Amino acid sequence: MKKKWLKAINKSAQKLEEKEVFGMQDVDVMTGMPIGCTTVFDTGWETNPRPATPMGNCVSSARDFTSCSGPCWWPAQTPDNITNWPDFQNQCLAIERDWRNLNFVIKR
Amino acid sequence: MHKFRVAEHKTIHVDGKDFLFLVADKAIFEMDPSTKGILADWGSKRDMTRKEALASLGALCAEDRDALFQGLLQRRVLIPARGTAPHAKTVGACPVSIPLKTLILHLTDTCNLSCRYCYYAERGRSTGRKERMDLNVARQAVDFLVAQSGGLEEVVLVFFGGEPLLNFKAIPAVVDYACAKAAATGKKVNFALTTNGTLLTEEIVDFFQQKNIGVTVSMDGFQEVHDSCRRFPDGSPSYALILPKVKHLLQQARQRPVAARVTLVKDPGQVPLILDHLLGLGFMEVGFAPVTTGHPDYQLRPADMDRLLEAFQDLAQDFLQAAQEGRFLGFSNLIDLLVALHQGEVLNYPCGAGLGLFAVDPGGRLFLCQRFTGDEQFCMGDIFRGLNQEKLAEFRAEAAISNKTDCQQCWARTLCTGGCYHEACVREGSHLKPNLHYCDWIRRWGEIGLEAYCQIAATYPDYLERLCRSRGYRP
Repeated sequence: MKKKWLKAINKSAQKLEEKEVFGMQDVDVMTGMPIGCTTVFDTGWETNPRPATPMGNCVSSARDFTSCSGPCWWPAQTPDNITNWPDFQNQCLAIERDWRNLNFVIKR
Repeated sequence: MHKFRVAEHKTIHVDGKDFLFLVADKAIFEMDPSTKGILADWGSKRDMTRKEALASLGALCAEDRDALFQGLLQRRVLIPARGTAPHAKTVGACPVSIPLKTLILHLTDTCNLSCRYCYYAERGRSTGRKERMDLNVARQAVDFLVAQSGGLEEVVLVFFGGEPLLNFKAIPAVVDYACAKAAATGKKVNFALTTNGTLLTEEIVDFFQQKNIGVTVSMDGFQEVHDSCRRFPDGSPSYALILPKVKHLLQQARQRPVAARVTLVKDPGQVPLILDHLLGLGFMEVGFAPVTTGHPDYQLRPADMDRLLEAFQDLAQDFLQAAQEGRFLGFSNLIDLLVALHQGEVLNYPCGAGLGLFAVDPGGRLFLCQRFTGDEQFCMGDIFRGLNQEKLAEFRAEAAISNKTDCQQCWARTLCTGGCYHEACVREGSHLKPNLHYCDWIRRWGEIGLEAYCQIAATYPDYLERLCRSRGYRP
């Protein structure tokens, strides 16, 4: 954002400025959401009913990991199921019950 | 279709510049005229979709339109619209334990003065209350403070009363014990004391200097004002007696500046004269508080409150003048407000009472704060067996701002958060109610504070950081 439009003056304004995340900003539905931020644990609308951005999420927890892993929340955590982990979903039929089975290790 | 609206805000115009105060985030931005125009335009519309919003920015190129929209969304100037305002949820019990930061020790519950408005005297005396806090109780209070202070590097110990100097002989031992105890756990202790000044001696003043104790003197102004309420039990006035003692204290105050605390009962028009007088004596700062009392005769009337606001406005102008010249005007009320605005911390509670701050009576019982000491309803345990966690959890759940329905629509709620529990208890009948009798006044004072803040931000912004640092905030 051009500095002249808005300039943070107090400390909470400065904190709001820091939220800018490099990356995909032009997804129409999720405007303003810090996309792909892997350090924040956020799942499903029932556990995350925020009234402001990033606002209450699109799907429930049970759908969240698989549905939100495209251009959205979990691209880093969701395993690559084309080449390396083709059948990962079989370990995890019900995410809310089976998430502990998701033991993915990056081979170096 | 996602819709958006402009978040609750106030605009301030000073010195040819425009500022934006976001209520929910307590965030202050400077905005340029085009942004101001856009927000005014959007604010007058009903909720818009992103497409509608962008369409109204026709004057800008596509890239700029996107950047502006995104930027406003990120800074929560624009927020998703819901059918109605988000309903305030009740806060459950505090999910994390709060470290203890401050203990207010009632070294005695007696006082050698009989100030007419004293909240302590108003409660009356009950039998069986101790005159003096024993040294071993004081030491156990220190143990309790250090043990409950979690990861905090600094704790605060306040010597209070009645008149704490009536029990001065306990203070040096407590100070030394506290320093040793804290040092053993890698912590520091910050000492403070509030006194009526009548018992100050050279020895005591030296002690304060040596041990770096922050002193506040309860003094109401020049002689006529001070003596109208602050008298000895036999009715004799106190000003002439304390003047030389206070002067000595102020002359010796090299380590830490001394503050004065004024209780206002009438004639708020005198406030600037009182400030001049006390600063002239050598006080670094003066804080004014309208009296908290249930007696209609002593309460400030609406006309008085208007007059007080005018006086505060005049002092704000003086403060700005001083700031422009790089000087410091020790008008605590404004400084506190400016610091709160600069830090911008959105609070759930109006103060630390019952969170990180408690008062300890001479017998070792813990109360919400020093104004509630002696009142069973607000006893939260004792230093021997600890805090009553259940009662405390209930208080914390009940007292959060989200339960004050009157506050939810007020733009000043993140500045005021409902106000003092004790004041509300006395004037509104419950500590859980906001101070409705002051609401309008607080909003107007909030506006004065915001204007002063923006004025300083517009012309000498470093000053705000210096003010915060002088209050102990790190950058």
